[in-house]
Amino acid sequence: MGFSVRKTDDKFVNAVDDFQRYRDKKAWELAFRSLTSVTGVDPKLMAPSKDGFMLPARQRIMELLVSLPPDGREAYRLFNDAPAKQMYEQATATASTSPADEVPMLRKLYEQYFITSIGDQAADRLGDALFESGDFLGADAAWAAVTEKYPDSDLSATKIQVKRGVAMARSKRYDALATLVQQMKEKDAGATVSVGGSDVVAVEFLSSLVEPTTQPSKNQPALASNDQSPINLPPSDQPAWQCQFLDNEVTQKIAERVNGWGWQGASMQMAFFVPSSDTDGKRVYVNWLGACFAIDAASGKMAWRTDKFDEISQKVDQLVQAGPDVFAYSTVVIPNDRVLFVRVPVKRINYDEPMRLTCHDANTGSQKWSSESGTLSSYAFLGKPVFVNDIIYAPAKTREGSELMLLTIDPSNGKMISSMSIGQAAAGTNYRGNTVIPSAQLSYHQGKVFILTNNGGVVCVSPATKQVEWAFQCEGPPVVNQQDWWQRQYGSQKLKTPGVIAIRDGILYFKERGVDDMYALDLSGPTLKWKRPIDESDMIAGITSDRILTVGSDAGAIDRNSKALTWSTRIPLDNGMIDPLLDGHSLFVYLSRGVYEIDASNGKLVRIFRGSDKDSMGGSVWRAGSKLITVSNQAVTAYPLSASARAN
Amino acid sequence: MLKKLMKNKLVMAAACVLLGAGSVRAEDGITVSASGEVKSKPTVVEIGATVTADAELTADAIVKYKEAKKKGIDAITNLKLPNVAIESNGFTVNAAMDQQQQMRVMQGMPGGTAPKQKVEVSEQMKLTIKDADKIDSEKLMDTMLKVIDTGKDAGLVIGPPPATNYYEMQIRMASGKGSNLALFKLGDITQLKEQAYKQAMDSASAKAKRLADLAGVKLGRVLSVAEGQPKEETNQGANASRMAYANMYGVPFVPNEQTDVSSSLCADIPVKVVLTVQFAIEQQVAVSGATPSGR
Repeated sequence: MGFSVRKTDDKFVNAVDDFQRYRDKKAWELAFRSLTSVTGVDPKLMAPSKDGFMLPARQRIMELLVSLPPDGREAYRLFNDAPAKQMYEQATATASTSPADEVPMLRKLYEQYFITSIGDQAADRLGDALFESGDFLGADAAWAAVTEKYPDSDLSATKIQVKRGVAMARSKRYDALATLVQQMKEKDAGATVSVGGSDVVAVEFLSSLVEPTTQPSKNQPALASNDQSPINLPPSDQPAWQCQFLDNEVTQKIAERVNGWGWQGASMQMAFFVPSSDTDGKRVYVNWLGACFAIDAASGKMAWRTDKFDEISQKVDQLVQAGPDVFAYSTVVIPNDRVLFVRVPVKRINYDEPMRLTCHDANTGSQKWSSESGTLSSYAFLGKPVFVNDIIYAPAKTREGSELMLLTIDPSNGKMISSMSIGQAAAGTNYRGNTVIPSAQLSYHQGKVFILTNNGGVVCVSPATKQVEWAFQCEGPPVVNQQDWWQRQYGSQKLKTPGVIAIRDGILYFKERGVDDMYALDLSGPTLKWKRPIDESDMIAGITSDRILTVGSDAGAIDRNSKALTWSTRIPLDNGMIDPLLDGHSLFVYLSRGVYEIDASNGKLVRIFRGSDKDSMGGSVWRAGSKLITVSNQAVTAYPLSASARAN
Repeated sequence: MLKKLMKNKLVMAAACVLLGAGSVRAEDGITVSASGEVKSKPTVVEIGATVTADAELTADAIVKYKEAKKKGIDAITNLKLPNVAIESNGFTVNAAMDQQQQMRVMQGMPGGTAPKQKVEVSEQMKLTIKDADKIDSEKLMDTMLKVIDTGKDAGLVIGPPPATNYYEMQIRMASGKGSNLALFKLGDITQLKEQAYKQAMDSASAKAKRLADLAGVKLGRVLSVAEGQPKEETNQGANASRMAYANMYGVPFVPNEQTDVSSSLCADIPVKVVLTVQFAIEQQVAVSGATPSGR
């Protein structure tokens, strides 16, 4: 069993069962009474819903009420119209005095009394309030409830649909908007609506909001560059500069130490570790097993470093025994000339030291703050943080526990703003007996934080309400304990690429690390759009208007709608720690035989750029200004891009 | 192939004399073994290539296989090398085996949870460089490396198909087939064999004549010719060792029936023929007081 969220107790489950039984017998009073005892359920608890989704218990109650037939709804209104109307009046009165309180009140009303005679108005007003707050997905969901789950509403269906369409356009869900327009054309193509004081044909108005969706998503994981112009690979293998951090002496030292540890050494990808890296265009920031450094992107000169590289080789024993998740090491450039590293600081490497979050001055490397002390010191960080609206969101766990937490941190001083429990991870143990859980991946999208656990699930969190909005549970990777030595000694180690979460046009695609399934979740439900098997070594490398690009033992493209594999190209993957780059036309993958440029439309191998780092195992590929940067397990190398690319 | 020419057996009173590879039998005349060897430059270079695709969904496996094959063939074809050809040895469709589980079971460990079954489509191909004997050796090496590199870049598994388990790997290494990417072959060896046969026959005649002279008898006509060595001189165990040795060190073992000859060394390849020839001893008129040896 993998990751799990806090679930409702048996009392809730029994109440739901009772409701469904009485509903089917049309014993309305008994049905409503069975829910009475659980309407006050803790809003943080989750209840099982369809297809592996877990919804907040209150939302599950609403789902049950919506499932009532017309006579059941009538009966419900008989009992509940009065309190619902009273609550609605309170909410509208609050809007003028305390607008911040309006949304929670409307949400409560919407969740508890949606099928009452005032429910459609409450949902419409909730949609308006959420739209104004920038929660376009939430607004669309509220309006969709009116059109889809409230068949006897007196509200103008056209107006509600237009509102939905605008929310879809604002959230750039153009596919969903096109579908909506098509539905409206079939139903009432000439219906008009008042927009900005003048009457317009609803279908024409919404059609004008549909934009072509050929440009790549800004949320795609292939994020190595903010420049989306096509990349022309360098004409020559001659680098502009190269910084080799793993020289022969250090390699030999590490090899000796790792070999000395035998099977434990084999359990860690020490020799093939590709540092995490990021760039702000001026410098390339690199995090090699906790020794962090910055290189001037123009000259290749090392601007600063936190530790000497050979200090790592002296700490290899401790690193191997601690067995940290190599995918947790992270580097993130944030505004105001700062850079964040998730690492075990070299001076603190020992058998039990957790991953820390440290913030450095990007110009000098001086440490601004660190989770080694203060409110963050009791947490172990579990992967790459995201920076949104001047707040750092970071996945973490308590040092000895296995509860996955989402921390919000003030970037100016490293103080924790809030901590929120996401759920319980299925934990393994390292050689020292400490709990280890896989690193998580975060993605921020339209006011929501999505957490890929790499442990059997995705969780959607609203930072505004600090609540889990939904969780999706699936089969996670097997939990491996370091003591299961025979598995490691006798089992060939399978290549694992990073787990990736990517959102495009309102659909969330994800594939966890070490798992052989990919999922597409429609965020407007949320519902499971599809699930398909995929090679365990594959990762999502990018999303185009019609395809999901994957990289593993093969590069491939999966049609977003039919989920069929449309092309496949064999590539020599020798190391799972890769970070491909998609420039909109071509997919660039840095492998042991060089940087592979693959045509994203048909999988044709356009070119292989060997480069000068020929003995490496591949790794990340970036664009920084007019240079192509490769970060391998042994060097950071920059090549001047072809002039035609710069002109673009 | 040569057949036995004569089956008549002449009974002779001559003493049996053994010398070198030849032998004389009183009842059979003089029987000798002789070999002929002709060397020639390899005419063909064969590079093994495998296209393998596996996936849980059969549709995925087929797309992967088709694309890998097409891209591999296109890449080699686009080299526009006039002497290079691609041949298919056919494909197989199997249930892919999980290597990790296989290794655990081999080591006597519990197999663990059964992995999801995958479909594997695999095709063996041969990349052939023809007229290799007419190409300068450096240019031949360039062409080979170009084909190998391009094939690898295009996703072909060059050389023998990857071993699916540790034992297969061991057996391959022991038989010398673990790491050879290319085989150098003689194409049509008919002419070379003709020459080798002639050499062997000439050698046999010379050997037999020498024996006859030593024995003081006159060499007669050929009674029989057999391919290979006399039965008592052959040894299956020795042949097997020779074969293994030959494979390991790239020296070809050449039974007379073999129609093509290959080596992992890019060097002159010998074509060898061994014959066992039986000659009659011409009967001499008896002279009073004379010894059988003529003294």
